[in-house]
Amino acid sequence: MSNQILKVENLRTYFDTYLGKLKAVDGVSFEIGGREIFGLVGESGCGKSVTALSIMRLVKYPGKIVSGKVFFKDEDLLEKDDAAMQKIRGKEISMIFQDPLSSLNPVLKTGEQVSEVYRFHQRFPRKKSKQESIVMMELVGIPSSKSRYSDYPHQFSGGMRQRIMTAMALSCTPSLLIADEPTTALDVTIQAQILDLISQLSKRFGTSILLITHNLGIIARHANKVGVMYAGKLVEIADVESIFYSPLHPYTAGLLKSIPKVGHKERLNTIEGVVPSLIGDFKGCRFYSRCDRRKDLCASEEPSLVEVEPNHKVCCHICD
Amino acid sequence: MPETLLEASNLRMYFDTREGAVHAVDGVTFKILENEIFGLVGESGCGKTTVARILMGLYKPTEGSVFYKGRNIFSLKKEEMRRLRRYVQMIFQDPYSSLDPLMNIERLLIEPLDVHFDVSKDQKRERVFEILEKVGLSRYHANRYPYEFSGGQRQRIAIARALITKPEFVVADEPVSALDISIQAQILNLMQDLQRDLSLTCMIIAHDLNVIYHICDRVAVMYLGKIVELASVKSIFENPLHPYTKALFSAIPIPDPKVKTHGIILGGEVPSPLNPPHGCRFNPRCPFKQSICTEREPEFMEAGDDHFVACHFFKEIQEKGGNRI
Amino acid sequence: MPFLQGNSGKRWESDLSLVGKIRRTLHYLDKKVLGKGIRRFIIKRLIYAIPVFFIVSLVTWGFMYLAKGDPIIILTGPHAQKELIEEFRRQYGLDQPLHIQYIRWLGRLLNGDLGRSIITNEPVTKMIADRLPTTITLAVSAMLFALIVAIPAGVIASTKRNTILDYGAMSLAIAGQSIPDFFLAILLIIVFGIYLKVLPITGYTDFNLFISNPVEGVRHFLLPVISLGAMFSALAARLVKSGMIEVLDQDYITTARAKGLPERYLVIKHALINTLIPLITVTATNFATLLGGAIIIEEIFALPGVGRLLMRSILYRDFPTMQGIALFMALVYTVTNMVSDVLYGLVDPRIRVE
Repeated sequence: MSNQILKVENLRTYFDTYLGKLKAVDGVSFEIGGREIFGLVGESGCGKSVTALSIMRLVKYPGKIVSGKVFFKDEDLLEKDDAAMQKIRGKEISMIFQDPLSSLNPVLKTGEQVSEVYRFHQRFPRKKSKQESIVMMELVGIPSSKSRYSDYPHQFSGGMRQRIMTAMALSCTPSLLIADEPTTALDVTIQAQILDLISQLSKRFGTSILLITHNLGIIARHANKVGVMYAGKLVEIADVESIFYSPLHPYTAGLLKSIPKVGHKERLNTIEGVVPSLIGDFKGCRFYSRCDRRKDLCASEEPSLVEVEPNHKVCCHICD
Repeated sequence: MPETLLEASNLRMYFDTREGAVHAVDGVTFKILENEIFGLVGESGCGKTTVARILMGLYKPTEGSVFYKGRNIFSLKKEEMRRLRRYVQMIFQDPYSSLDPLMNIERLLIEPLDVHFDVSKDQKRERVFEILEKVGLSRYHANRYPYEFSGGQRQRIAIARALITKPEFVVADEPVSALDISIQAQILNLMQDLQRDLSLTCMIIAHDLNVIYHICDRVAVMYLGKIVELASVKSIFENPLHPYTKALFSAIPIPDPKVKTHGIILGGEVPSPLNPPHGCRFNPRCPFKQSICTEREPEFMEAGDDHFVACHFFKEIQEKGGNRI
Repeated sequence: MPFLQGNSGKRWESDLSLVGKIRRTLHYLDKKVLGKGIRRFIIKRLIYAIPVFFIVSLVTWGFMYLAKGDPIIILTGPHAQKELIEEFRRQYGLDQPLHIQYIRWLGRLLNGDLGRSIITNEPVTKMIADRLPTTITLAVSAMLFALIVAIPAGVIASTKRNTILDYGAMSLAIAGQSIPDFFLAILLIIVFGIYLKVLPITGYTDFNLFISNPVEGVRHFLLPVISLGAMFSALAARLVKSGMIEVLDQDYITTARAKGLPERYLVIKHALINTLIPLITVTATNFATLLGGAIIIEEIFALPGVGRLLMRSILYRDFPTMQGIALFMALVYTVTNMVSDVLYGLVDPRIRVE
């Protein structure tokens, strides 16, 4: 048994729209090891959230996983039936979502929403589930959790709500935690608290994290390995320092030069053009129209993800 | 020596709610100089949006005044105020809700001209085309509707709308936070170019310190209705004096793996302006708190070269090498 | 954000002018009399109900004088002597100017006296009270029947979309909403009462039947309840289905699935409750329609309820009875709305803050 917790192989998730097939995730492959924080970064529409939902098999109609494999601890999740997936979700693989206000049921007590996980996955009786939930809520930093157990989501602040989501997700000490933009909706100082909480608890429980964000600063601070997504494809995977200090793919390089950074006031680099449509068939490299280093080959042939340096994979013809 | 364009003097804004009075802005004083880009930074509930609205003349403050080129804008007559609005414009955060979906671009942009200028329709239309090109769009976009444009393009239209009357002062409330990274860069560059070309004075409200550093000259940090620190961007980033500023900076993740945090993770919640704490408003969360901090509000004083801070112990904290607790 | 004038915080606390005094008094009343929470809520609703009653009473007065037909003539016959007619008019106070009649009526009303029927001379209050149990039972049963059928139907239709179950349920719903209740009533009478002869179509005299022989009572009520409730049932089923579809698309349902909760539990515990919230308001408003529909159903099935009484009193221009019933209806609607608001607050904790 390898140390790999997750191995995604050639995942494709398409959406059936009336304009055609929208290829949200089009051949994505990556691995996450034990106790690793893998940052999946990209701009809106690149397919990172759909990738996460595909791993959990929570993609909603009209989306469908059309091909690929998702190996979780050497078992293909895409082969499992609904009952088996239910046992895995929330217990072995958990997820935290972006907006904690809309992600919590507004009419149910927050404590109950936490204890549900204990009741269904650990099969604890009601009373014990409640006690464990109170302990967990305390652990994630909710003061007087015993009395706040019966409070409703709208009675908490944004940061507190995200702590509750974290409690729900980590209560069964899962092997993998998927955090989809966990701090985008929060204030800056609270963001730091939540990310700190997530990384500390994960370290304590031995949980690997798939951290999805568009914020490169968060990636720099928290991730070990980074995958860059563009238009449904993973264009570069490397450890965090290589990504920032020696990016190989033109998109990655362009992106890094376009973010404002404290300490620098030079004019920002911009990437010309817009993201191409994900609908229908595509010839050649997706980044072709915006690339400043393109070759003729790039227009006709699609590149594939290749390891050009140890532990550094790129999907690009000029980097081969 | 640059002139002062705008001066806010002891602004206070209180709102009556069922739960009591909300002190949204509680004694804010600052100056904005001509041609500078002034940044206002803070988290939710700190009052920065309220301050912006007061400066625009949209809210009448409970106390205090705003001087535009030396004249108190709230003592102007209605007609004078209306004429002033030509020179003071605003860009909003959400490009998806700030443009009226039922108006095409030409109508959207012509509207401010109709209000302020008495020239022919053709002349107005020429001006519309001119400004569209200036923001990087084309005159052929004029008869389209907002839904046909992307977020970045809409924000360009919003900028065009703000600039079409040739204003002197522009307030931008979180102008890029709703945009993707690569689009942010485009808009930030555009704003810098326009500010330079048109000799504008700007106030930028943002929560992303990287953006503030990049584009602003001076910045004020707000917390719970008050300004806690005010300095040039360079000065405040090299040497943040107020504990909140330090915490804020250490919370902003820098896109550079080798840069580790300053070490302060701020505990507690972003407070509600309903019941501000006694004494220094930051005291419940301040790692350097002493007993005097709960009794007396600190004075806003000059700590050095045009660098102001409101903290009882900023000197001591600085001496101790201040970034560690 | 509205364009505001900055306001003064709590400056009126020290304002010595009349306006300031009024504000302080109102504030005091607000805190002491109204109190907090549920109590405040109910008292506030009752206070709002008072102007409603006044308006209803005025409106019913106004309409009646627009309606043609003179109750005295109906009572005495068109050929009676003039002096007799005048005498009756005086007895009923109908010779006084309008506003005097109104005020006197109002005075009696505040004493709990709704007057007497011009036709039967019985006190209006007694007439309503006698018939009330029947109508209430009918309306409430129809509502319950409707919901018991609609909620499961809507849930199934939403979770098994585009299957036979979905199409079947929705077709029935459209049929239910399109067929007028009286027509359905007649159909049911023909099928169950005449052809199959399993259910009675007449014979219910008063509410005591339920007490003496509950099974018979239920048998008599079965067809009326179905006829009356069918339309609302159809409406509710469609609302539940669309509500569920919307709720099942929400983020918190995705979270629940991500927690690995079984689908069946999730649908009922997480989704259904959120759908019920708008359903409560709809039910409350439709209760008024149900009461209105009860009039016709009562006529068809010859049930002696308030609805039939109203029909008769309109036909015979029995003003006091008409007014009494109209006012009573206003009371029922207000109470229903209040109950629905309270229920709303019980189910949706976000509303309770108010």
